[in-house]
Amino acid sequence: MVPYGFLLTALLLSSCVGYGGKARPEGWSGPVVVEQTLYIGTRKGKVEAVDLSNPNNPRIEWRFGEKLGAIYAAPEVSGGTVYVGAYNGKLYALDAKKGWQKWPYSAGGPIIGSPTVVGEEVFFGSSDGKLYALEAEGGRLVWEFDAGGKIWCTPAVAEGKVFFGSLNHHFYALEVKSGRLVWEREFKAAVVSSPTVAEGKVYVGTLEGELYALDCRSGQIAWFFKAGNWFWSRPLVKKGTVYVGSLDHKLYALDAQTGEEKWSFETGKLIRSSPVMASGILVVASKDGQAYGLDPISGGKIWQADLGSPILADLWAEGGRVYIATQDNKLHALEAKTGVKVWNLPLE
Amino acid sequence: MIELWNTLLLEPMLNGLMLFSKALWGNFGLAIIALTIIVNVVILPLRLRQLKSTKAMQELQPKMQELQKKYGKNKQKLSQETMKLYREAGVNPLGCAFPLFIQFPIWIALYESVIKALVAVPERLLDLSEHLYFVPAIQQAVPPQNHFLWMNLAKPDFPLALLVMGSMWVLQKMSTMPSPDPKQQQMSSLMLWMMPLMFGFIALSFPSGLSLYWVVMNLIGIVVQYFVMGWGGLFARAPAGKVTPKAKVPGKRG
Repeated sequence: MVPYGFLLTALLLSSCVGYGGKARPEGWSGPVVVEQTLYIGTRKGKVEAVDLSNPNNPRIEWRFGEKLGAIYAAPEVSGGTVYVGAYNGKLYALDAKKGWQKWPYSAGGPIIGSPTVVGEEVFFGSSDGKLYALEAEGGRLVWEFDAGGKIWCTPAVAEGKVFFGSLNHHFYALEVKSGRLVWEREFKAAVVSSPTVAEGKVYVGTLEGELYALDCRSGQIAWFFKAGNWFWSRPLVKKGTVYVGSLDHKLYALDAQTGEEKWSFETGKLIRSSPVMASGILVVASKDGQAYGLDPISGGKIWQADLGSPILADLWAEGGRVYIATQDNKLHALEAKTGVKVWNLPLE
Repeated sequence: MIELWNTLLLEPMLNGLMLFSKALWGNFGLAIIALTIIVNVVILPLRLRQLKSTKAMQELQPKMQELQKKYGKNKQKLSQETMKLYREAGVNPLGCAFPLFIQFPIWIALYESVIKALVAVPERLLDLSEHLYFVPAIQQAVPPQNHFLWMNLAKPDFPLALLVMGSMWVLQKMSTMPSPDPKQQQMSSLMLWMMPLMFGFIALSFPSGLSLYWVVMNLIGIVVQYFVMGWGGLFARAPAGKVTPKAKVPGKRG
């Protein structure tokens, strides 16, 4: 009646080519540079600190390798502490110099977004649907807010509020001190992209391909822009322009006041990572394994660098260089002006 | 080739699944059940053709055995007589296999679309984005709600794995007629237990959304099988008199 032998064979074959039911998280953590040290989560679920004091010869300084599962977001570094959220549901505070663990905090589900540290508190969301505010020093819980839907983004903190979206289609503004809800807005689709706050507006994209500019105080929609696929990239706002990548393969430059499209640049595959500005060049990377240096005014391509593996992690710009992590677990350093590859470093 | 597969089979089913999820109050479990039923209704004519061919072949079994006894040593003659028997009875021996091969890719695409839609990790969600049509109703259904009854459809579920095994055993038993040939009977008995156990084991390590799909497939199979061929081998026993003392059949004292 039902060809189970065939089904079983197909099941095993499809598992071999990656369509199997078991999903293994791999992560796509990006780098962060603070005081000539680069911090990154590797594809094998470890945290590494790379000494950049010799610009042409990076050196692994320390490695933190507890069973983290996977790391999807860049670490946050503040006051000599590295904060990193992991797929195992824990937020770790590590000593920035030596890499030893100061404290861990267990949330109820995998942590996908980065933590945000402001003042003496660290804010992060979890797949258990809660946004947590902890004491940055000791990791004690200050308050928590239950959104009721997975939170995969990095919260933005500005104007006394914490902004974040959830996979339950809602976007929230909470009071920093108490976690009290100030306003919330319901979208038609889920929110996985991290918001950016600039000049009284909060910019956030949805899985319906809409980028919204909301008033920070009221949550009213100032404008929205429709792309050809989802937004999962964090918008970059510079000099009155919003730069944001979409899964429709394009990077859009939009007028921050009106949402009008200034230009767009098409890459070979989807754009998950967030763009950066370095030495006057707008750098964007795509799943096609290419990094592109663009003119931020016209969108014209200045250079293109093939990094040989899909790029999903957010980029980091520092000292005229762009640091890019690729999915083959390598870290690359490129000259921002020319796109010349300076070095690449295999990670653990 | 993969693109053709995705465009023609996988993506229509995957998007259909998401649309059903949106239409059925965001309930992904109901969406899996609805799409599995619809796909099975679409391929019902093929299934019926396959079952009728199987039934006709089963009815010819006694005559086939007579031919085997008569011409067992002369392979050429046996082959000629067998073909003649098929011709006279108006049966095509490939009649069972052809509809089966047509259904096969459809089942695999349905299985693959269930797996793809169950977003367990962020990589899966990113992968899903590359297969969905850019239609508001579909985009709004992402990510599907994984909770259905007592289950998290993205994780294995023990009771559902038991249901997979039980329903598969019943369907296998209905489809397998007792054979007077001890070797064949032994093989059938082995398969009757082996396949449900293997699928049960797989169900325990795969998302339960896939198990739900299997259970619905099996239940539909049981209903169709019942209406075409009755209970089949479900309540039948192997003809004891034909079992030779050397070839022991599990569950029987030989």
